[in-house]
Amino acid sequence: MSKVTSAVAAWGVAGIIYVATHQFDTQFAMYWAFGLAFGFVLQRARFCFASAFRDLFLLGHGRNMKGVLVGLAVGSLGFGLVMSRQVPMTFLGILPPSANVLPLGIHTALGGVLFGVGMVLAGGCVSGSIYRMGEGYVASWVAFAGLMGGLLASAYTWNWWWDRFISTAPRYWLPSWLGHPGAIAATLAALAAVYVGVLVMEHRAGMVLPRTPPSHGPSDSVGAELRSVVRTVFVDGWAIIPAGAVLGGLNVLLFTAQEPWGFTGEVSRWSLAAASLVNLPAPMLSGVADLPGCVFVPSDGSILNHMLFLVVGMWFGSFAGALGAGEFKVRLPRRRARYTQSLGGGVLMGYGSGLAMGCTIGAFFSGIPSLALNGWVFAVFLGGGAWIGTQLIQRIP
Amino acid sequence: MTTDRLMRRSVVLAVALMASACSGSGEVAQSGPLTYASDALVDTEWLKARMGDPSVRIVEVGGSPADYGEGHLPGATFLSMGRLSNPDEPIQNQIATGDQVSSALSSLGIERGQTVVLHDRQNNLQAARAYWVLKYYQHPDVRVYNGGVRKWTADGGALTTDAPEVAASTYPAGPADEAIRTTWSYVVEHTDDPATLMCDVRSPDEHLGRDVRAARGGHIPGSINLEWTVAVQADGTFKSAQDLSALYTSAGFTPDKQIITYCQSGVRGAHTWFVLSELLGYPNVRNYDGSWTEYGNNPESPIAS
Amino acid sequence: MADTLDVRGEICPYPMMRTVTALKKLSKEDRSLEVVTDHAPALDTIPTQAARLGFRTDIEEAGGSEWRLVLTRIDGEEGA
Repeated sequence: MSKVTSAVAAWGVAGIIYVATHQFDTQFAMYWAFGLAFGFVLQRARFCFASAFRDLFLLGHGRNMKGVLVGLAVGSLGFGLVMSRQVPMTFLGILPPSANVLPLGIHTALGGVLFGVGMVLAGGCVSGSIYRMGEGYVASWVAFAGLMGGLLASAYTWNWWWDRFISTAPRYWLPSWLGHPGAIAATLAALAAVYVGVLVMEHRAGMVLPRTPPSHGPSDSVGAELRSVVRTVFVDGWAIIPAGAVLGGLNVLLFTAQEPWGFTGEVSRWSLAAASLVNLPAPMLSGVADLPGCVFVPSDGSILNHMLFLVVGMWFGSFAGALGAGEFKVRLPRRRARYTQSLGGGVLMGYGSGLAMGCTIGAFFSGIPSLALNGWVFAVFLGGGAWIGTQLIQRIP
Repeated sequence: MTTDRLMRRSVVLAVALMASACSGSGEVAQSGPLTYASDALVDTEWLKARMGDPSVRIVEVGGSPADYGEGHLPGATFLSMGRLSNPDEPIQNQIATGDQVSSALSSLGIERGQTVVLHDRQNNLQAARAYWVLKYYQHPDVRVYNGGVRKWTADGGALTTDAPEVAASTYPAGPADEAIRTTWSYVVEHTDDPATLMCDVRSPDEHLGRDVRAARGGHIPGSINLEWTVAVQADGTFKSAQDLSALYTSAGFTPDKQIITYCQSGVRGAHTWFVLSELLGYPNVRNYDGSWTEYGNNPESPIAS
Repeated sequence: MADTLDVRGEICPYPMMRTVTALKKLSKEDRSLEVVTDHAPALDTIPTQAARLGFRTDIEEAGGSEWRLVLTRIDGEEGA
């Protein structure tokens, strides 16, 4: 089957699922559509948070980090505007109900470090693993299994952390101190400063060769023009800056409609459901009902949930995107150590995202736009963890 | 070269942002306690200052004229809640027609130019509902006396058994303000609308379908249960604006959303409507008058439990 | 014919790291190295690292989601 036929078939299936879920529950359909869009863009741009940090440390290569920063800037502006309408009076200590303003403490830092090490070891964070699963990377399926295990371990130890650190941890929302315009401006300024830092690191490391987009020749007819547009969107890889802006924009749309982008809470629900299937007792999960972000979601015995459509949608969107570009292939690592690496990395990511109440998406890509201090603290320690991870992988042949 | 230019541009951008941050922080300096968004709620001091003012009409609303007869606020007339609902409507407690409201207010001698101060003996519940009815027919100046008879006596006010003499007027109800009310079909159309949030102000048992008061029990899909009593303090008055804002915001009810309040027959729903619309100033709040009486009895209603 | 380094099945950063190791081991007489990968992100990282070591990269699509990268040593005056 040619890549065009297979891609058209895949999008057809995606459309049928959309229509079917829409009959059943429009929320399912909406999350399915968001999942498809996120997965497609991640795959088309090879938008990878692990390489954003790792390539900067290892190569002085800032491509992915620039995309992340642009996405964060778009997200911060959009979230900021939405939140200014949700909570017009910022000085009262009232927090926006659904933004990821999370308890900030030692768990945030430790979660960041564990996650950072894990994502570099596994070769991708949670969103990266999900989109690579769609591209056919078997190692990413292994990493995802590790993630589920790590989340489970995190859930069973949650109350220990809750009692000692999380329950009393403060939640800091920048607009409480700076007002809405001030918090948005400070966040954008900080992101701009990091962007400058990335440029400096690139400059020091020497030249970076940008990927030259393939030329499709002069378009002398509407048909040729159209073909060229289709190729740019579906076949050629996306440039990172527009991809970051689109992901940030999608995140704002999802936040406007419901909640910030994030899904480790949903994956924890699968883990806990699997645990209950083998008759493990349900873990004690204090406080999770009152927290936003990707906190643990206790299994309620049902399978269908709107978030399930988001996660599976991301996987499917990437799969369809990879088919269309001829990039789908079942890839098996040839070195056995890679499986261990992926599994171990996944476990670390799972434990870390449990503690931090989110992964690179929920705690970082949605955390900073929530104008929450926990987003920045997580980011710093995530970077630290990624640096450690980068040192580790250079010692693994 | 490109790097330098980009860097310079980024620095300029950062400085501009810092400057706007500083100018922005000026707006934030307005700290201090949050006040209610409108002057719909009045206190004892306000009322005492207007005793005997012919342009201010004090009206006790409720279900029991006997309580009123045993002692009420000086100058207060009594209006039975039954006169503000439509007896011809099969669903109980539905809002009265314009003509019915006109005749009810005429019988009390109320003019459209007067300030109507409503109060009750039941945690502002009846007063808020009557307020919503008068607002629906666009009476220009309506207020709720916070806490009603209980608050009046607690603040040392004396009650009287003298009923004021009133000459009937010809009160014309204004056109209906459909923006503060909603209907079954509008609710059903908006159950999937992410910009709309339904507030179920009934008890948790009613919400979960354990206390069934119609053909079917449960709640409107997607609605969030926040019982109306959370807005009430021990002395029957409304909580502070700050406490109310924190309560409703943390439950997800933010001013950027359209909020539809509902209960069993639109009375408790009007109380929460009053909190969100009048006390917190949310721009788009509607009370679903038909509420569970209509919704739970309609076999076509989508229901969650 | 140039040596071939097969890094299929490896994901980031290994295709790049193994390419760099191989380039450093290349004797002076070897003008080029061929790398086969099925990991698209390596198409960004390998050319940059190769350039920093004085190699030019030509990418050919080999079909089936595989790519052949031909890394050729740039002569003195052209390099750096």
